[in-house]
Amino acid sequence: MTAKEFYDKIGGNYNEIIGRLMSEDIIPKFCDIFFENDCYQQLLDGMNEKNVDKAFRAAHTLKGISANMAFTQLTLISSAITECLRAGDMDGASIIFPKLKREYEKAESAYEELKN
Amino acid sequence: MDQKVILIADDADLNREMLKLIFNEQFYILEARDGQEAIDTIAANKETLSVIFLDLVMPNKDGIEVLKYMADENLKGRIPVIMITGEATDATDEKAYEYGASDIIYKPFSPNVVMRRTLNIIELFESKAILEKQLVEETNQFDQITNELKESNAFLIDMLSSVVEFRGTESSDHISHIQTFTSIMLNYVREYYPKYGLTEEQCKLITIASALHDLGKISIPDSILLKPGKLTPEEFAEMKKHTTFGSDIIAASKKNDSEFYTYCYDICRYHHERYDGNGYPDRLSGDDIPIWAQVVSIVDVYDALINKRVYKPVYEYNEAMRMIKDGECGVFSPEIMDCFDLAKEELIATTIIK
Repeated sequence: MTAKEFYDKIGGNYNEIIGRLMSEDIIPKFCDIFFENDCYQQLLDGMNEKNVDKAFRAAHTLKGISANMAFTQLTLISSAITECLRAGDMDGASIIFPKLKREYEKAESAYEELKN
Repeated sequence: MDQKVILIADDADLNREMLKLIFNEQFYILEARDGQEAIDTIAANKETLSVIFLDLVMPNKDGIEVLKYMADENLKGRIPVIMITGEATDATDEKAYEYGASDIIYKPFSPNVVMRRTLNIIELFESKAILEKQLVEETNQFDQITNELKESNAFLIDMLSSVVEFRGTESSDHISHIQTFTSIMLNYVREYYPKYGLTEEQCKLITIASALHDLGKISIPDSILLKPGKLTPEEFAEMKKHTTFGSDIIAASKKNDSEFYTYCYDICRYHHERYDGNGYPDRLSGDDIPIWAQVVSIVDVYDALINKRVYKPVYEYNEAMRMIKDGECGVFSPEIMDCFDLAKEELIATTIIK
């Protein structure tokens, strides 16, 4: 799997990330940093604990790093959840969360494929 | 090397790595993972930091707290702060600028734009710093020149006054006594009688001008000026003219209308006028006599009383005070008498030290 195929598969913008990183070679390095960030786990915990503040911070971080990675789908959905949580709307966030979980896990497994 | 130092403060390492990718060729990069680390790093590097990238949402003190710290430490105008934010809404932008951010960049970063804006902002702050430094230097120079001018003015006035003094019979300290007493009295007038509208700067000018009060004595013949013992009525009439001689000399040297000219003229001419109209040369009364002339009148009398003159013995301070209060040296306004009473201790203290 090429980096381009990886981006296509997860609903990302390949041209945008090349514009930002200037080289395809360092995409894996940045993917590593992305998936090592514990914000997704924090968001999961925050949702389970019904801790709005914790969940908001995590969603906000996820949104920022997804945007920087040009993971467009993930950016849109984490942005939506961030805005729910900013408004303190835990129920709204809970409705969106499963979709975010699907997208994140899809990205994660596609990345495993890219590495192998 | 002259490599510029930047601080990247963001809790997500991915964001820091992306900014590092943009800047690590040209800049020396410091990193902070939360607000507290950012504050510590700023504190340790405040002299060398060229720009700070600051995330708003961070654990252990957020971006706003970092900006508040910078405002408290007076660093706001010195180190530019570029806010990193995820959402381009008017509300967050306004908040960032309100707290003193210089610029805002949005995630996702666009390398060329970020680099261009960063370089612009560094350049802007550097030229601002250079301009401020120049301005401070120029202001210092200007202050220095102004001070030198003031000093040389005061020196010339003292010298001119001394010429009169040396020829006359007054004690050699008369001029400096008059200036000191005038200054003390003016402080009380300014504080207790705001109706006269005197400012601190005006009081300084009046104090300098007070040295010239007897300038006209230069035109009084030795036979009268240096005569021991009582003057005849004709001689006294001649002696009184030192007031108008003085103001004539001042008027003849007039260059333009200025406060200082007015003080000099009035003090020369009116420092022997009395509140009840029984003074000379114009028999002015009440507040027709300018307040600065009234002040110099009373301190002139006081200094004359406590110093030996050819025509009179020396009086002790308290006796001099009493004579003035009892109206033995002419009538002064209630306001002037009140200030003289308030200034009493200070006047005596200065007199004894001298």
